[in-house]
Amino acid sequence: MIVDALILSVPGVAVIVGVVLAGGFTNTYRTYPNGTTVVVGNGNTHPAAVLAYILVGVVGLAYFTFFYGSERGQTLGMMAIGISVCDSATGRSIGYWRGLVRILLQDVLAFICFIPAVLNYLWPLWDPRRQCWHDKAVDSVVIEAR
Amino acid sequence: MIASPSLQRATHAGLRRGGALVEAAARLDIHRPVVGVRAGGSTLLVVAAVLSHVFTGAGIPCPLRTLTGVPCPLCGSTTSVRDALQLHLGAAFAASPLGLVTLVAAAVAVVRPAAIVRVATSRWVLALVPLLAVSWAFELHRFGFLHL
Repeated sequence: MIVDALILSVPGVAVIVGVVLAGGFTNTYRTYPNGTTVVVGNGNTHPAAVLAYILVGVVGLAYFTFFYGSERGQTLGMMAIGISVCDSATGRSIGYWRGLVRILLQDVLAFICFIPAVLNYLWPLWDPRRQCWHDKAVDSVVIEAR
Repeated sequence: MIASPSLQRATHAGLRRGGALVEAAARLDIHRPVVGVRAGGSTLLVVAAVLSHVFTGAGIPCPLRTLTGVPCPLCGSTTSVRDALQLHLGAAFAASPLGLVTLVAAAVAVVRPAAIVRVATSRWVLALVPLLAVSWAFELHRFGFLHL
């Protein structure tokens, strides 16, 4: 499973590499009345940083869109685990457009707020068809691939 | 008996079981909860392990806290998990005790996914409500909004 997760984290690693390559990050801090200091921004208006975010964003979107929408409906990690995504009624490929919407919704949720993003990923635990919200939105379901 | 074209189509799309047409999706081998839980737990652990060792302080800041300054119950969990994996347990607790709980839950999800599924689908899942409430109080206190 660790190997599977390593593969699944490829886009994440890509983000880190992009950010490190971009360089020039300057963290900005906010100090609260009780002295707690936290990072509230990190120089992401720096042109190199903006470019890195755009690059890794596009790479991540392309990666998931391509594999979700492929005939097999599996990312590399999903191949390793033996699961795939397909149309909830026909069991066929969801195609690239629905694949794109499926990953975009996950990204948008993660960007807006952590709480709905986490809830979305936990949702299959309580859903009769084990669907996340992004599955419901594009009528997809995750099956065990034979 | 020759089925009508509409019934043929319906049977093609679905499955006849006990005289009733069952939705086609019923034939799909929908993934077992343990598979999803184990995948989620291992992904979290590995991504966290990678992040904690190449963390540069860069990332997209939380819009809620950036705009309002107010932390949510999950605030500090990234920092907490990172610190814990760097074996700075004190710092991890100070950032968010919930981060440590998450880390333990992720480890259990990999080793014993069935246990996570059992808890999540029982009434014990309601324990998340007080857990999140305490975590929120902790974070509000950490950021100086709540004085105890």
